[in-house]
Amino acid sequence: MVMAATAAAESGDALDVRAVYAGQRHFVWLTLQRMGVRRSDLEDVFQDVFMVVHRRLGSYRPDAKLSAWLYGICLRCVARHRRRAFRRRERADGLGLEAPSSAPGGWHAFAGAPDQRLDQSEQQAKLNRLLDTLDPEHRAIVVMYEIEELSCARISELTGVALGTIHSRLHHARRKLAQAARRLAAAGGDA
Amino acid sequence: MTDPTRIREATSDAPDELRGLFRAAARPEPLTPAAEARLATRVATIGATPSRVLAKALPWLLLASAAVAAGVATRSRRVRTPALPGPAPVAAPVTPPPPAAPVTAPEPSAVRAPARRPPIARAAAPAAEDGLAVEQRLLNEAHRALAANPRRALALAEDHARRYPHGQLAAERTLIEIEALVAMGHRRDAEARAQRLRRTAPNSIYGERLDEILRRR
Repeated sequence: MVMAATAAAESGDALDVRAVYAGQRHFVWLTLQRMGVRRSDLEDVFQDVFMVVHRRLGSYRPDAKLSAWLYGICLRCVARHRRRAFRRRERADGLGLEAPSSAPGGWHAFAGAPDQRLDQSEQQAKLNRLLDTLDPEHRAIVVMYEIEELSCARISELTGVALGTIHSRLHHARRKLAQAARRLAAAGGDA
Repeated sequence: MTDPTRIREATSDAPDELRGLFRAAARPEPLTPAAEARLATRVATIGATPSRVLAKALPWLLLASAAVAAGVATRSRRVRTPALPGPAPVAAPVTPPPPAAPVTAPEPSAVRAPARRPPIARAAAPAAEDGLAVEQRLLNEAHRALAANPRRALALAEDHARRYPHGQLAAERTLIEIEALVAMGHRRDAEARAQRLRRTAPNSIYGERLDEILRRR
């Protein structure tokens, strides 16, 4: 299915939302999580992405990689989602601080013994708070490189971002994460 | 240009706590068949603006009222049977179900969509959209049965295979079959089907899920 959509894209044949969905749904699903969308919002934002795909298919150029085109759409949808979530939180509690919108552990349901699961989910929640200090683009690249262990070349291929830019974003993100971790430690573990 | 040392690695200059967090980090969660089935339905409604939905509904409404007027009661009952929202299985797959669900329950975001047709998209026929909804309902049920009753999950997946041999969710169906076979102890059959799936969808993300399923005892 991936190949069908890619082949259609490369040959310049008509691509429709269904073909994009069939070939790229897993990429979009993972990318939105990499950018920080929590499970509770994931399906809504996923649908938003395909609404934009539907509107903008006419502007897609077959010489561009389909995943890179979708990556840009994901970024814009996540930015919009963040603004909406920010406004909702401001209205709700007048604070404006990022807080995990779902259960601790964010994007993952853990398997294992209950106390181990709790420890893991606390760790994951803490990591999510740190990652959420990054903007969606830096966050996605950090998750792909540091957690999924994709190579920079592969990340560049998937996202359409130049290899040198990937390196500099990783460097910048790492500095920011270290600062955030120090603040977290100074605050006694509560971010 | 070499890639930088990862934070999780002992030789990285990251703070220890950060290293620990990245070592324990969970990867993004892959799509489950249940989520996938929900998403397939949502995506199928994109572009189905109210006018298109009405255009789809109109022939069925006319047919139903004509049949009632002619007194063909049995035929009209079949035409009126809602196929999408109800829990009952569709009795006659050859009869395209009426478009009751899109009219009564449009996706909120779909309504927000601009009311124009996709620039390139060759919109699928209404029957194909409805078929997708039926496919996903069957597979949802199969997926729900997996943990408690893999035999039933397998039967439902095979029923899907008979009805939709070239369905849009064929790969998802095969994953459910493989998972059920592993749970039932039919490892050899599971592995043979996994091999076929890898051949037909070599670049898909299913590879990782297959590995994970086949690692189970």
